[in-house]
Order: sequence, then C-alpha cells, then structure tokens
Amino acid sequence: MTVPLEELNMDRIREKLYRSKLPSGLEVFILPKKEYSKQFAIYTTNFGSVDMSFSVPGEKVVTEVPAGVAHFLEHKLFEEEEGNVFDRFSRLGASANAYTNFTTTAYLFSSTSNFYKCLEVLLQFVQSPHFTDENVEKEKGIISQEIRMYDDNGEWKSFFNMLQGLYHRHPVRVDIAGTVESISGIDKDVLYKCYNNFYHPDNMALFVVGNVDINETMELVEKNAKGNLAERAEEIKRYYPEEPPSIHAERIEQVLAVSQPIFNIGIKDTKVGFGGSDLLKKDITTTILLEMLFGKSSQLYQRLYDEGLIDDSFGFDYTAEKDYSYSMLGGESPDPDKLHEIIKQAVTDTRPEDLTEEDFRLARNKLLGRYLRNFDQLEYIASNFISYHFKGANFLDFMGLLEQTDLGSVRERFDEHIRPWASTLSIVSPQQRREG
Amino acid sequence: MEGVYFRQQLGEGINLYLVREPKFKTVSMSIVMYRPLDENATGNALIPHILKRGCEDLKDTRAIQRFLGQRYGASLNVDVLKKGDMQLIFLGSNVISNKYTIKGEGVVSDILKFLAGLVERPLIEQDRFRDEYFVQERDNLERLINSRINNKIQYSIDRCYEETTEGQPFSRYRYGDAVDLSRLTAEGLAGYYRTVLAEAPMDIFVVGDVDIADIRDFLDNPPALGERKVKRPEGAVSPHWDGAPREVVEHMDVNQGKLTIGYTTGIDYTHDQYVPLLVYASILGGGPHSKLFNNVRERASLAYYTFARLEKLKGLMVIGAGIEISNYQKTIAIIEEQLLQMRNGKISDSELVAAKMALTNDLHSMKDSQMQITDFLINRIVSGHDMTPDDLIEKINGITRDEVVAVADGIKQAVTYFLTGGGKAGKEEVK
Repeated sequence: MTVPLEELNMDRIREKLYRSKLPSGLEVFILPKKEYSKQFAIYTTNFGSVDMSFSVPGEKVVTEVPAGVAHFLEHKLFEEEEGNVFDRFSRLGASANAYTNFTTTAYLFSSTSNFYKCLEVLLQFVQSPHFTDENVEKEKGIISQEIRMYDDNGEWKSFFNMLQGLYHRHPVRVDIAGTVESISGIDKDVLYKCYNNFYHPDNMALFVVGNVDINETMELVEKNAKGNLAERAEEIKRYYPEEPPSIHAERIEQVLAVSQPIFNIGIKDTKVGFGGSDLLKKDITTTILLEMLFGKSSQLYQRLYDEGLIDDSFGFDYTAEKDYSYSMLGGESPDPDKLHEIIKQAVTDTRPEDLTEEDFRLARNKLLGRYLRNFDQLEYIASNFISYHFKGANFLDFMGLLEQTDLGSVRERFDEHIRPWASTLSIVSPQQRREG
Repeated sequence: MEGVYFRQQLGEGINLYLVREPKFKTVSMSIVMYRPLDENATGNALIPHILKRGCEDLKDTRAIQRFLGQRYGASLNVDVLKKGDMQLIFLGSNVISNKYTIKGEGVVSDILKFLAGLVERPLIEQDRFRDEYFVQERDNLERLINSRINNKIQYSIDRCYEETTEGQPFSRYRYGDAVDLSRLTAEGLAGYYRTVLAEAPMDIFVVGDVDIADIRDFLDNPPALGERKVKRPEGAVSPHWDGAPREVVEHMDVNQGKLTIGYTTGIDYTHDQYVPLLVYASILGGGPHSKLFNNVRERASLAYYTFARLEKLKGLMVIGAGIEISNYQKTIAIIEEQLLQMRNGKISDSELVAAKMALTNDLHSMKDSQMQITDFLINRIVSGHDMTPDDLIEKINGITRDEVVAVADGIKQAVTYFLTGGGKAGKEEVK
C-alpha cells in the first residue's frame, strides 16, 4: 500500500472505520465486519438530479442539462461494449444495483463470495462509459416505463407535489428521473459532458463494509481506481436559482386511482446554506423536535389517532441538505385538510417551554436506538455514511453530537423552523375534494 | 436446526427459539400465533391491532410508547402474515442489545415480557374488547383493506393469485374483507380471541446478541395461557390448473398496465423437485441474469420491471411486468417465448450458473438479517421442511440443466391478469 490509512475507533459501539484518500482525490472508507457473511460496496458520485447547472473546474462556461440526466447516466453506465454489467456480476454470484437521488448517484453490489473480483468490476464499469446514439435511444423506452410506474404511485406523487409546493425554483421540485419529454432531449454528448465532470475521482467516494480484509481491499482499489487523473485544483461550481424563503403553493391536490387520500405536509426550513457538522447538528436537533411534537408518545399523535385522522401509515422525517431543508409529515388520512388545520393550530399554540425535559430525553434515546440499528444493516450504514460525507459531515460523529444536544437548542429550533408554520399540504385523492 | 442455538418448550404448544448472533447490535423478538386461513381471516387481521393498543399493565398507546421510549425507542410492529393456507398473528419488536445500553441495564427481557403481556393480558372487560379500541382499529382495518389498490404491482399479483386459486383458502386476502369486518363485534371478537389463545400454536423468536441469562427472567415466567388444546393448522400445495388458461382484465385509472400471469407448478417445499423449481424460476425471472429481464426489458425495452416469483408454500408462480397498455400482446408473446425456451432446454451454461449463484448468494445473505432469519424459521415450521440454508445451498449447487427442464413440463398457465387504464387524472394547485 502506498497511501496512508487512517483508523477511526468507535469504542462505544465496537466498530473501527478506516479511511484513505488517493492522489486522484478519491476517498475510500472501509468498515470491516468479519462476522457477517456479506460484503457490500457502494461507489458514489456527488451528482444528483438537482445538479442541472454547473461549470467544469477551470472553465467559466455554465452548462445547463435537461432534467433526469443523472438518473439516465446511471442507467447507461451499466451498458458496456460487450453486453451489460449485470452479467458480469451475475457470473460472480453478486447482486448489483444503482440508485440516483437528489444529490447522489450510487453504484453498489452485495456479495457473499468473489468479493475482490466484484469490487474490481464495480470500479471498472463505473470508470468506463460506453454511450452510443443507439444505446441512448434504447434506454428511453425503459426509463419512460419507470416514470410511468411512478406516475401511478400515490405516495411518490404526493411527495413530489409537496416539493413543488414548497419550492418556487430550486430543482429539488423536479422529479429525479425527469419527464418523458425532458429525457427525450438527452443524447450521448450530454451524458459524456456530465460524466467527465462529475465522475472525476475527486468528486467520488467508495464505501466498503462487511466481511473484508482492509489491506487487500486497499491494494485492489489503488490498482483499479483511475490513477491517471490528479485531483482538480478547483471544485465543481454548481448553480441553483435563488430560492425565496416563502412557499410556492399552500395546497396541491391531484386525483389518482387510490382508495383514500394520501397526504404530505411539508414545512420549509429557511436556515440553509451550510454543510459540515453544523448541518448534522441541525439534522439531529430537528429530528428530536419532530419526535417530541409528532412521535407516538406525543399528545398530538394520540389525539389525531383517536379521531381517526391518522393511522399506522403516519410518519415524519427531516431532510437536511446544504441548499435546501424541510420537515415532512405524511401518510393516509380520510380528511387531510382537517388534519392539517389541527396540526397547524396545535403547533402554533405550543410555546417553546411546553417542550419538556422528560419528552426530550425520551426522543433522544429513541434516536440513539435508531442510530445503532443502522449498524445491523450494511446497506444502511453505507448509504447513510456516504450521504453525510458529501455534505461534509461524518456520520460517526452522530452519537457524540446527539449526546451534546440539549433541550435549549431544540426549543430554539422549534421557534425558528416549526412555529412560524410555512407549509404546503399535498393531497392525492380518489376524487377532487375542493375547488381551487 | 442450524442457527438455532437454543429451543425450549415453554408450555403446551408454546416454543421459544433463540438464535444467538453476537454480530447484531439489536435484538429482534417476535411472537407468532398460527391460524388456518378461513372465515375468521378478518378477525385474525384485526386482533393484533387491538392487542397493540393496550393490555392490563399498560393501558394506552401513550403508556406503551413511554415504556418503549425508556428502552431506547424499542419498536413495536404488529401484523398478520399469510403463509400458504395459514394466517399468522404477529407481534414484533426490535431493541438495542443489553451490551449497548448506556448503563449496561437489561432491556431485552423487559421487551419479551411486554410482548407476551400484550398477548396474554389483553384489555378484555366484561367479555369484550374495549369499545374505543375496537371501533378505531376496525375503521383503520377497513381503510387498510380498501387501500390495497394503492400499490398497483402488489395488487395485481394478489389479484392474479386469487383468480388462480379461486374457491381455495389461499384465495382469501391477507387482511380479510370489508363485509366480514362489518359483522365483527367487540364481544364476538373477544370470545374468538379466547379460542385463539386456547388453540393456536405459539412460537417466540429471539435473534441477536443475547445470552440465555439475558432472557432467564422471561423463561422462568413464561406466558400463562391457561388450559390449552392446541390445534395445528394444515396447508397443502395448490392443485394443478384444470382446463384452458383464463384471461382477467380489470380497469382502473392507471398510466401503466400491469401484466401478471399466474401458474401452478404442483411443487412445494417438501416436493423432491423443489430445488430445481427454485433454479427454474431464477433463470426465468429471478433478476438481471434472467431471461425475462434480458428479453422483455433489455432487448425489447418494453418494461422497467419484470420478474418471475414463486409462492413456495402453495407451489404457485407468477410472472409480472409493467408495460405500456398497447404492448399487451407483444409482451405476452415475448414471455411465452421465454417459457418455451425453458421447456426446450435452451438454457445456457452461464444462465444456469448465474441462477445458482444468485440463489446461494441470497441464502448466505439471509444470515445477516434478523428479519430474514425469523422468516426462514417460520417457513420451516409452516411447511414442515427440515432443510437448513446450507443444505439448500448444497442442493442448489448440484442441480443439472435436465432437472430444471423437467420442472418446465409441470408448469401450467392458469390466469392472465391485466390491470389496465382509462383517462389521465388532473392536478390542481392553490397559491
């Protein structure tokens, strides 16, 4: 091995993480778990559906790309001159997959044998694009069916309509896969342009977890990861339109073939524009807050459940990204409008001092339990780690930060984020419920 | 049983299985009660939802959630599972292992006792479930039953199986039906639950970093279910489809058509062609190495998802694809071509090897998931097979092409179900 390996000890949870950075800028993380049968590797680029306007380091020109490019590129990387990559993983007995979200594209496999060969295939295929006019055209049929499938998915539609209600201009309001129309404008030149910019090792990271040997893994990565590229002096510039703090629409309703209304309530967080451990802290504090307000042990949850306005499908979540953040509630409800009114009223009637120390401790313990559960699922720990990594935060700092979080910071968060109540109600319903 | 380090009978028809796996940081616990899938299906589906609302020790959701919250947010999941001709009442929880608690305090035994308490000491007052809970959960279940149309892929698979097994117990929906539900009463259901407690075999599964000492307290005070006369429900493979295949078309306001074709195989877990059938289904539609994936999706670009899947307890198979509605006939033709190739032995070495490796990879991976370990044990108990994951892996590796082709002869097409659409729905924004 030529590059140094740093060891991070997490005594409290009995794990050790190893990390290294290659001269090309690629960051590598290894979390050995020898008692597992499985190995899991995820090779990711910091390129997602929101990256639709950017400049290549060293260039001044701004490139604009159609919606759905990152996802399209993900599909196409599986294609090789001779057949597709799935075949190579299949021959090795591994199961390979990929996903694209708002900020990241990830290529992954899980294996129980032939791990090092699989890792070699993973590194190689992601580094060897093969786009032709013909294979780009062919993919449009498949992706159109993927988009159509989501068009019939009430929860997905409700979620995206909510984002369209929250955001005026930010590209998070655009569907990850784009639209049948937008992908029709994608050709191989656009794909290469994006590939060359975003699939540079300095914009990528590899996370390996499971029954693996650290040294063997590192040697293989050094040998196979694109070595001829040096880390670029400048970062990729990404441009997002200026997003006003207000919400775009208060209520959005769509009719689909569903049995009862599906809803999402989005609450826009205007405290954005930073990453790193501050972002992780904000994430933890807000998640505790939501748990205290809407969790199963809260009075509000009990009341909504007793009134039949929510059921077991009810859930909530906080999304913290550098450039956009929001809280979200969702589920099925016979009367989302009434539900929304009650929640809004209850929240605006709550004073910060109503949030008690006891409820705070319960919520914090819950988060601790949930965090530990991550480590029992190799896929979870890998994708969560990577997602925070690209935001400049270390997921392993979670426990320390959680222990430092106090009730005061949760009350502050309540005052700045939830209490002003800037929300969008999105409903997917069996029939139109209200005229605009 | 491989992987089960400890098994103890706790009472008449009550068994505890402990799988000690130090690699897990959490402990998964489940209590399962086995019932035949019959006219009580809706009642069985409602019971766990009422049980989760409270018991004599913790009488409401808030009390329960505080109890769980104090134990690091241990989860509580209740459901009813459909396993072949059986319906299983299920209560489960996941909690961090005693080794990771802040002061090293024990939480595992507490949770086991809590789950058993929900089952054993339900809130039955004057011979009836508490009205408030009964009514709320009945209404929730009604909505759950109606919401089955929301997930179009699952709905079309369920509907296809229902048509394929018409008149058999397996054709009942996992959560029962709305008409039966409207006939249930808080009193009638409480009476029925007494029968369940007296008759249903009960298994308790514990998977995680747990020593016997951690659950000693529970073992010494096992669930007391009173006098029991245990009745073990039975299941059987679905008989072969008799006669010509049927076509069922259902209309809904959808953008994408869901094509689902059901088959009978006559082969369940205990059949000697069970393992060849696993390999057969994998070659046909078990992932990116399969004929369906490569022909329906990659070559013809007709679908994003396409698969062949087995219902192993009943010996049924289903093929699915999400397609443009106008491509119905075209897709069927390609699917039939793949089935023909299977029958004619047109299976390449690499297809055979890839299928075997995919199956063995899944079996090895299973050992890393508490949920899958529990599910494997439940399937063993329900089906009566006694294979371990390693037995299965060995058998899969020894399967020949001829054995796979021999399976093809017994596969009979039963029902082609197509969920198809109409016009497109609108969208409205309020600013």
